[in-house]
Amino acid sequence: MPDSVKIPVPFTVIGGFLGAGKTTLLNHLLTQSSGIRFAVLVNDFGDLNIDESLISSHEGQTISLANGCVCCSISNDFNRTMINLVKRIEEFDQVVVEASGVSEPDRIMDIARLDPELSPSGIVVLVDAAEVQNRSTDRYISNTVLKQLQTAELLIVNKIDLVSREKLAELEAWLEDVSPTAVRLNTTGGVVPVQMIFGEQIKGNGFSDKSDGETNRTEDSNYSHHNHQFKSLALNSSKKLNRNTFEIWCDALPPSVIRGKGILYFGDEPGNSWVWQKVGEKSSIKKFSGNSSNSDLVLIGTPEMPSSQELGLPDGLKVITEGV
Amino acid sequence: MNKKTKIYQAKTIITMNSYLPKATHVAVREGKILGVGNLDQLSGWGEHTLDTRFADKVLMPGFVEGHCHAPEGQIWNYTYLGYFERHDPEGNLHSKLRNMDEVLERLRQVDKDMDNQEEPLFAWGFDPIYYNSERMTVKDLDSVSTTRCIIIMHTSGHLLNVNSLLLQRAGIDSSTEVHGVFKDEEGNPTGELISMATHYIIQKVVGMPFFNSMDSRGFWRFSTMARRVGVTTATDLAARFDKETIAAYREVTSQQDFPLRIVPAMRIQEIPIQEGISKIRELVQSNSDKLHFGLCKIIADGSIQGFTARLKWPGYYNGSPEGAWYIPPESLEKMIDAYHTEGMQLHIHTNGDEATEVTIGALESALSNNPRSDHRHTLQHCQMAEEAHFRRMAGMGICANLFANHIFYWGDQHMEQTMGPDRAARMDAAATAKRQGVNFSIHSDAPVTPLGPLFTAWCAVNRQTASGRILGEHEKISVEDALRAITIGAAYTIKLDHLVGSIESGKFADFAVLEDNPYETPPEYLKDIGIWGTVVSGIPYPTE
Repeated sequence: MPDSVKIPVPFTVIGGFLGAGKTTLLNHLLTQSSGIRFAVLVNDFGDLNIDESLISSHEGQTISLANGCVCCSISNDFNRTMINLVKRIEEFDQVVVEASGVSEPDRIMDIARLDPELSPSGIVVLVDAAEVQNRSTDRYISNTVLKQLQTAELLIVNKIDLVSREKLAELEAWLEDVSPTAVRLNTTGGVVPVQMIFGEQIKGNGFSDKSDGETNRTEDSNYSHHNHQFKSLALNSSKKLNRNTFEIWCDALPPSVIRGKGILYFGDEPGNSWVWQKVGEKSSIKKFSGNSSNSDLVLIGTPEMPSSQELGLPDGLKVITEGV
Repeated sequence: MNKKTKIYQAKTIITMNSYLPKATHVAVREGKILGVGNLDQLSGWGEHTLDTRFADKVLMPGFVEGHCHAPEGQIWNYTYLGYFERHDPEGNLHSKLRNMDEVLERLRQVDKDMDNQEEPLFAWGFDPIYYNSERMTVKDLDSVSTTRCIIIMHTSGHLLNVNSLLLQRAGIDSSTEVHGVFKDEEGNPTGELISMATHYIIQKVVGMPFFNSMDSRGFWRFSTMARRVGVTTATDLAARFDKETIAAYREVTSQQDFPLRIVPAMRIQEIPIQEGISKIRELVQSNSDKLHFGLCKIIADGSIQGFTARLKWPGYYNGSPEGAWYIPPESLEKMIDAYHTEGMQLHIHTNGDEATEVTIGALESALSNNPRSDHRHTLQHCQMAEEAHFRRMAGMGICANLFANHIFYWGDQHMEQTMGPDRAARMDAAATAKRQGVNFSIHSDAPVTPLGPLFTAWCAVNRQTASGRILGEHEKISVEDALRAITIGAAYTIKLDHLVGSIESGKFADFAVLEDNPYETPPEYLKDIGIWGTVVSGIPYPTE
């Protein structure tokens, strides 16, 4: 693809009420980024705990890290902060916005729906397993909490070690009811593999948070984190795809496919390509101008995700790698 | 500073100083009040010149506006589209626009006067609530121009209207599926946009200069506006504390002929707590006679007419949902506690009764954790507070700054749509505040409504809506109480009552110079009293 072509940069919103674990997750993204250059917009630098040695510069509202990531404080003007960031969007692979405890993540995602330089790439909402149901009946904030859950595409149910097995089952049933379209991942310590959230293809060790003490608890595989084993499937086509066939295939993918993303070429509009993003049941396709006639995509799923053979591939797509 | 003594003679001096409420002369030296009384008494200070230019005028302490915003000086760079007539800082009258045709006619006129056909046209102050909620559409704005982008900001600040050209540049069309894009029956966008994301894309494409940093010209225009209405001390109650703005504050307030003391409040809720506290501490070091950092502002909820204020049961009269928090109640409590513990003074915007209640609770726990005398934390707007809230506020020494101008500008809408007649009658309850012993002030929130303390006082005294109805007979206050609220009452809420707000020896020689005596004017004409100008630090600043 020619350098002059600007592929819309994936834009992910991380929401959840206070104490759900947003900051832990953001810290993880910034410092264990697996080579992805994240631009992270946060509400409050103060809560982040970035190792000083990783910081290459700190100017006003922006902290730059040696790994190519930057962290911007939203301060009191979100739109201005975002516009300034998009001016240098080519420096980043992924934008992540931390939604404040009272904002609706879905409304923030509208920015990526409108801005041709961005592509919607997941509304992720963290849930405090022990607290979320209490909060959902709090007289002051119940609606705020419920709205966050309802518009989530990926729910990360955190701190499951704090609840009993029975309680967890009850919570899952409740979440299924409140947020039926979201995919759920259970975790402790607020950390899930970067690939699960962003749909990046697994590179090397898959995720590089081995420094996280809790990882030692995992049994054997490099590709597991707590109880998160996941599979990935990378596909490619050098021929144009049929859009209709692709969309039917995409809609039929089983729930074990948590995440999908890719650049697609359908050939019906020469000079244009499409960014495809799938989070749980929801997917979006956004057009951008590009001369490629290649398609590249990746699927990330739970261990139950069927093999490429079982899935069946649309005409033209070939397997590049298939990881367990 | 002038070391010579000058004695101003006035028809009457209303001092707002309880031990000597009335006088005829005031002596000034070194920018401060030397003494107040009659000529005989003041002559005892020795050699002086007698200045009789105010011999037929009435002097009051310079008015103190406890809740306004300096962008009042900058927003006039753009076209005003209001339903009510309004003066710009230079005193030009922008006539009222009584229907949509008049709105469009003004836009056409401005369009015609602009040289460059592609320069964007920005306008503000538009509010369809006054036009039977008739909406403005792209068709309307396309009849103004198809070659330049047009951006109209509604009074609320939450809504924009734009023309087709701008919609097209922003990529918004019938296929756009995001919140806040209004569409007509055929599914085409009407040009009305209400969400953060739609405003983002408009700002990205064409800019949003309404919210730019203040420059020194903007502050000068603000000061010109202030002197037209008798204000000598004004807050800037949620300022952008960026480098440019802070430099501009310092630059203008260091000019000897800058006729205004500015009291900026830092909006703290998006800043890490420790960073905010250090920043305030550092800024306070550079305070001067005309620049007073120190106030901290938090916004707890939205606005009543925007249906985003947080209300207790039974909620909005028209059934709208219960409003929005701008900060989670838990974070509000944590922030209040931290700033309170560090000795800071908090000004907290609470419009709805639920926001007020939660904030009072948070202040109560901060005060229990760290008792502190004379904190003067102030609830700003505090429009829906109940009598019980005022009793708790009095018990804890919390002040109220009530949004009296709302009674005129949105009182009818509050009766009909937001609150219903009974709760609307208790809005901005100045008389209850007084009865329960709460220190209170009243304000304009300019540029939301026009700066003008005498108008604000008129609102609190008469409680008359735009259509002429009376909103809550029993919340009317006396002229004297209203004058107190716009002088020493407001000064108290910003902890400057030892320097401004009354005419007494030792304070800054800041006066509002009036053509008539408010006590001798029928209360319904309070707003119409002419203002000659102001005196700041002993220097006269006529309006003309």
